[in-house]
Amino acid sequence: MDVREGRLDPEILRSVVADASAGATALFTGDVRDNDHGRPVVSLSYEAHPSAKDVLSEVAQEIAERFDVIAVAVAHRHGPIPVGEAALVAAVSARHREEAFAACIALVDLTKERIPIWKHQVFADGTDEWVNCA
Amino acid sequence: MVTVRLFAAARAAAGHDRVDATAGTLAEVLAELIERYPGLGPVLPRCSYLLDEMAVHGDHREITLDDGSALDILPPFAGG
Repeated sequence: MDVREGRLDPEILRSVVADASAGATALFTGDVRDNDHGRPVVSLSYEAHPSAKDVLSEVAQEIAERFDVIAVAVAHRHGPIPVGEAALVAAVSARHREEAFAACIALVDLTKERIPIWKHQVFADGTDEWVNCA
Repeated sequence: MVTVRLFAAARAAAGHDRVDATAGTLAEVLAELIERYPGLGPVLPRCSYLLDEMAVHGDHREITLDDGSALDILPPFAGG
């Protein structure tokens, strides 16, 4: 579990959950896009509360307990993030694909719900907003 | 006094990331903040709070902040 500035490497999370007993690995990357609500976005940055990493650990623990999985890993980036790079990476390994997919979806949903992180975006027309607070 | 930390949209609205406020109930502290920083008016009703690192639940008029307490003001999360 990690919350940090600097690029996230999905391959590192994939290798963290790798296990000889796993027949399936679900890997998700949530990437910065160049538009929101149909408006062009020119820059985006995330701000993290100091507790974000602890919250992420609790989320991963909860998912590991709720699903029949082998390993779970999730990381969130903060600070400015260029378009096309990952803000969130989640990886889950399981014996079979059904559990891997289901747990990965739940991991991403629960992370988005609970992680104390905020997104600020600037649009091409010069206006800006704090997402979910506009 | 209590120490108030403001994040994201709350910080932007107040123009500060950390301010002091008079000890009292949470309702009183928030009212003082809105009086000093009117831009917080529309933001605070959507926020959640941590009091000494614990999530706040219940009636703000019944939650007391003693001298030395630390209050974090958290706008709606937007991770992922």
